[in-house]
Amino acid sequence: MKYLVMETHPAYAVLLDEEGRFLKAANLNYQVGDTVQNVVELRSPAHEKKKKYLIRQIAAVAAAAACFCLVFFGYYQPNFVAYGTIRIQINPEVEMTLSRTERVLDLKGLNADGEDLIREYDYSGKDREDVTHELIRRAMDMGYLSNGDSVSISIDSTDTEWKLREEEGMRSQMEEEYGTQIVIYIGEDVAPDQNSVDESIQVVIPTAPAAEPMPDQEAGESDYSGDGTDDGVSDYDSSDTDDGVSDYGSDDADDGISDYSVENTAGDAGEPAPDPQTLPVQEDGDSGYDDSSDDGGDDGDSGYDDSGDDGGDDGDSGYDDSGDDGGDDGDSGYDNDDDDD
Amino acid sequence: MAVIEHDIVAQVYAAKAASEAADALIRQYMGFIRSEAMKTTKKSYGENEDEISIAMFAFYEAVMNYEKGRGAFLPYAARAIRSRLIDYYRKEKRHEHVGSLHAPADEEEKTELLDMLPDQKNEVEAYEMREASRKEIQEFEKQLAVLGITFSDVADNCPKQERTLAACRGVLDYARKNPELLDRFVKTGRLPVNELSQGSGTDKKTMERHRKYLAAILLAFTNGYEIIRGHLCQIGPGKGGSGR
Repeated sequence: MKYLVMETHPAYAVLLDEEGRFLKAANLNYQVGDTVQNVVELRSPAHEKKKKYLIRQIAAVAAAAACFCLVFFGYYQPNFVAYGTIRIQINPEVEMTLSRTERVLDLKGLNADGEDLIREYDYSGKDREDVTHELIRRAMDMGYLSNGDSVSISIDSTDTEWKLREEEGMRSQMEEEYGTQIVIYIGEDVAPDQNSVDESIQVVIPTAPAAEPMPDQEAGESDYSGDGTDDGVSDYDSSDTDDGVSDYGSDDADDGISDYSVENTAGDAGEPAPDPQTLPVQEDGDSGYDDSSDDGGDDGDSGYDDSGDDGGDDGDSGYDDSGDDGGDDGDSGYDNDDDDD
Repeated sequence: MAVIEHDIVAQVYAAKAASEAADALIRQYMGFIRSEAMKTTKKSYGENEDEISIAMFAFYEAVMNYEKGRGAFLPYAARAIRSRLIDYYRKEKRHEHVGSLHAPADEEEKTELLDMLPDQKNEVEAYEMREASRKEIQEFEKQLAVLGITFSDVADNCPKQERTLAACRGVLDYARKNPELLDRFVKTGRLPVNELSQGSGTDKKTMERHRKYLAAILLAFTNGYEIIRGHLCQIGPGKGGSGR
């Protein structure tokens, strides 16, 4: 574009372009009549507006996108995207899908009884603790779960830490709420009668009236019941023979980790030494507490009570430790003396 | 300080209205303009002719765009100078490979490249050409002055939007096709608005708003302004026009 210089002033010049526009521009040594090409045109506010608008629009879109991301990743994703599943087996089997923040996103029955159990149950907005609690109550009400029955729970997620935390949470919830009524297995692939429960944490919630007497051997961990034989960690209840970790129900004959129902009837133990049965209902195998195979003892990784043998515990029960008998040894912390107090 | 500020604001507003006042204001603040330019460009006195021109222009721009609500005038003008100079440098960088004709051709700095250009003849031609243009333009200026219009006015009044500019071009085209209208304009000094509006389909309001510009552009297509018309070759159909 060529410009004809029409007029000059110290600070500017008036030019005429080839299309008939008259404009003011910088006077770069111009003289009237010159034809010039590269000009510095006068800029007025009217021209600036368009650019500003564009920038503002882009900024607005960027801000909106940022807000969206914040909400999405900060709130939506942790609360509404599936993060792990929990499978609960009694007889009925159900599976619940959780978000990272333990909100229950889905609940389905894995077998006919399971579907029956959850029929018309509304889980929306509830968290793991609530739903678990309510489902167990339901199961009890509906007759699927009775005292002494066992429940096994397995948790799965790609995030191992989360999984461990959930397991821990589940364990303590179960202990607190159902301690005296049912046996609970928590682990990866816990199935009622599986032998090895790897890493399963056995939380035995004893209470069943007649549990196997476990003379002592309880290698378990917390012996709650205090009397007599406990060895084991915390004996709450004193009837003797408990060993094992937490004996809720006192009395004897439990072995294995926590024998809740302990009652001493020597009888049930079956074989005191060989295998202290803890609960009438289960016998080793996976009572979770009591370990599999054999006799009352537990072994395998019950975590509490350890493997092998007989009612005693040995191995790593953690609490009470190995070997022996009703007394406690190991660190029960609570009551320690053993039996003969 | 407040008094000075108030004064300068009044001067700025006066300069907006009249080009002589604007010129005077710039002359008055040359010192300020130079010092701001030197701050930005770091070149010393004498080496920075172009930059000074740009700086003066930026100051002028600031005068035209300043509003009372923008804070003090001088800082505003200083910012304008700085920003224009920076823009200028960016553009210059792109053309860096193009040297200046005034640059020294040899080490002694006695001869410039310009001097070494062979064509004296071309230079004379160019000079004459420019002289002829200048004369025509001066004549043009006089005729506009009779109508009470200056080139600055015309530049201010020129449509900035493409749409409006096209409308004005439409008016011009119609006038060129109807030379008697142009004659009438020259004789009376007034634009035959009604006919032009009807004939070109442009509404009167637009025409009134750009009255000074229309006057100038129509005038360019009356007698004698060949060079100017030659320059306006891009303006559209009907080259011959009513040139006489």
